[in-house]
Amino acid sequence: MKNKVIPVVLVVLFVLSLISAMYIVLNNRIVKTDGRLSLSRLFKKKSLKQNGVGIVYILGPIYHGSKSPLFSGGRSPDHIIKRLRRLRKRKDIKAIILRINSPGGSVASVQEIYQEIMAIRKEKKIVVASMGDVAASGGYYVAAAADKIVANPGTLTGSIGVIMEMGNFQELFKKIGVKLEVIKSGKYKDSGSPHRSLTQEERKIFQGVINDAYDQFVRAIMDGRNMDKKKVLSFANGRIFTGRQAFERGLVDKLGTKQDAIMFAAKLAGIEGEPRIVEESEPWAHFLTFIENIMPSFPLSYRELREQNRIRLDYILE
Amino acid sequence: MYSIELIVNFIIHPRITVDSIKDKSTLLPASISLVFSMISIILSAHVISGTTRSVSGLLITTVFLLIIGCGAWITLTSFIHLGAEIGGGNGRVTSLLNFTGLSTSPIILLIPISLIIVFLDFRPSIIFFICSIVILIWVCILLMLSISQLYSISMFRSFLLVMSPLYLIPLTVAGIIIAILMIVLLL
Repeated sequence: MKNKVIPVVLVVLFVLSLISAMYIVLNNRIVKTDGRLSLSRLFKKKSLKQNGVGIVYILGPIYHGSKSPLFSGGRSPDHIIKRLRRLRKRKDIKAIILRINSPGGSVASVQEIYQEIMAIRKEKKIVVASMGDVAASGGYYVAAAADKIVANPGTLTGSIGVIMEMGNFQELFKKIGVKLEVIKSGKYKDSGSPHRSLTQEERKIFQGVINDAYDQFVRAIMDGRNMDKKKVLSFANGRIFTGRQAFERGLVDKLGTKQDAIMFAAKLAGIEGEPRIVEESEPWAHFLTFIENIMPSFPLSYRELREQNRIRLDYILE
Repeated sequence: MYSIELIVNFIIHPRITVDSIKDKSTLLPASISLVFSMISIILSAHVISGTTRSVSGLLITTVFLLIIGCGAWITLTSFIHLGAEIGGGNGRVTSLLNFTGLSTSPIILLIPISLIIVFLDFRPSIIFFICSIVILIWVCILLMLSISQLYSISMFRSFLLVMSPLYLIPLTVAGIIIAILMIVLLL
């Protein structure tokens, strides 16, 4: 009889501890503060599960189709939007942090992310942008969509404007004896071709496009930040600012770190105490970025050079 | 109940239990021990690190670790059996498979230990690390006792056998590399 009692008692104890551990792990009953753990929420009705703050990283230049699709590392707008949508759908996520470390990107890419963030705001989720080293031009465009912006005092931001750059290889071709014959359907079809200079008329057209894209940038800041046009135009001349200068001019709402941004977002979302952090990132993203960084860069072929010189509107810090 | 009794007896009186079940098939208790050991590793690690998981996430991790655990179970048994046979021991590989599985049973204690550590608000990672080392030594001792009795060899030899994957795997890899190099250089 005695022999049977000990195993039964041990089994009961083990099953109880197994159930307790599963309950703790599945319902987030552990609070992590200053590197210490405690089960202070074990007997409280409301678990931490509802107090989620999601983090989405926006790193590097933002373009549709990165320079190498294999190593895009989840930085294309499609990937960023996918991550934002995942958090948008989750009921347990009350606030989202956009951790931005980007000099900007193409106009359309940046606008797609901006629209997604505005849609999240409409669903009464708090969005706070946290700026890293750089959040300039398109990086700032994206941040402007957030409810609030937190920047480090030394963050590089601003550079509000549009840029379009075209190479002109006319002299080079002349030197090496290459002449390009162009057959086109309309007189503007080869506007911006690297084989010749722009005409005055073409320059006017391109300037019009730039002005319109600039106007869209200004409007995006006006809508996102609830600012009047006069104020936006006072700093939207392409110049860069440090985080502190941007704070003085009202481009950002608070100076602080990523952790400050998390706590700020939690406070705005009405989360009491330490929030639960949910990081949305693509698997292998960091690894692929690392590989991309250590890959040797090869001299560009003419085709690649052409590809890089294609006409594109950018909200980017040069 | 027989399986649980067997696991408990194996932890408390390993010598007597090994002698009594040497020739019996105890694959079920060995499998139960291994499965719960794997679950204990996952749950205790989550409790100690303060990580939260969804049911599906926890399930996927458990299944993944179970596959690795089963692979390690079979590999370790094969290595030890091979080593024991070469070293002059005489025993059945199926019995050894049972004992290697049963030897993992102290790992089950990681769950109550992790709960106690977090409840008492100790420095969790250090205390848990020390406890894990103690349990690992306990598992090795149980395995050594089982091998020693199963193959009728000395405790020192069974110690060398338990540690065999640690030196045999690097040696095997080195052997393969040397063989490839020799083929490449000689051809």
